[in-house]
Amino acid sequence: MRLFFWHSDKGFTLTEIIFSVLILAGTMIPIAAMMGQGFEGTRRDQRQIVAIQLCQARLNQALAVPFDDLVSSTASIASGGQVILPLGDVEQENFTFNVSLRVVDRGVTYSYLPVDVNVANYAVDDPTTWVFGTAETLTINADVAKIATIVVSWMERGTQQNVEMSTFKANLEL
Amino acid sequence: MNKLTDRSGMALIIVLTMSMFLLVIAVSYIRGNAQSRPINERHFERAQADFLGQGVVQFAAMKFKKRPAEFYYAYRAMRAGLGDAALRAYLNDDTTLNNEFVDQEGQRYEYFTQMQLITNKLYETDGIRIQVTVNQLSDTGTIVLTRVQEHVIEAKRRPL
Repeated sequence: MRLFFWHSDKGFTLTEIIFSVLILAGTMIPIAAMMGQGFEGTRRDQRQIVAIQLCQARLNQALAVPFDDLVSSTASIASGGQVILPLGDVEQENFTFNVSLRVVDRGVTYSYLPVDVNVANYAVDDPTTWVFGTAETLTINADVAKIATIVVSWMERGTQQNVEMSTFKANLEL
Repeated sequence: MNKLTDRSGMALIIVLTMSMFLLVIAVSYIRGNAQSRPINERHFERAQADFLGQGVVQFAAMKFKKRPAEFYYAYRAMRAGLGDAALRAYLNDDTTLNNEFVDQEGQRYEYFTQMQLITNKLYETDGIRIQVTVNQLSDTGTIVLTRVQEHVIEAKRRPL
């Protein structure tokens, strides 16, 4: 039996090499495209992670803003000449993110059962003497609570991407 | 003719072997890349649930500030074995402390609040432990993740 590896005197033909290169190219091009997409996807994920982290950081700062100062804004919020919530454009990881704050007022309604302290045998230290009344609610509609949402937006291939995170803020000074 | 048969096809075998090798690398890379995305998504949802929890803790603190006596009555009645109807009315039936929140992406979060009286006689302190549980729900209503926020409001007891 003849081994064509070692005893062939002609090696590969030009046609073989051309076909080999064509097949290799035909395989490599889709793989390279897929890997390119993979890298782009990783970079896109990285930008989203940065946006989420930015959102978290700003929402933490928003929670520390005094209740009355917490209003919808696209520009930084300052108090006493000092910026307490930086908003607007932020450069991170060679990318520009825009941070804004959206605030919506909301009311609160609290339910409870009152105790009738006017009953004859009522004693503050003896729960067996307490008479609970029917359910009551305390409703406060204005200047009591807000829904604060930090919006981080950036452009991705001509399309605007957003990450939004919300929290509640209660007016504990009320 | 015989020589041609001996040589032909070797390049094809080499190329196909290399192609298979590259394909395996590419598939394993793409699989790894696809698996990294859900972790990123849950990172956002965990953070969102934590922020909601922090906000609801503030609502609970405000309720205690506005209606402290009703909580004490309800809690002590429950501890005295007189039933928990008043405590349920104070905590479980409250739509501000127990509700659902839907974010801009349409993700649903439900939250529940529990409050507990913690008294330390040795240090003459009273405290309220506020615990808010936030669940992220799937489209079908099953719980995807759960986060708990806890906050203790402590105060020194006034001398009688």
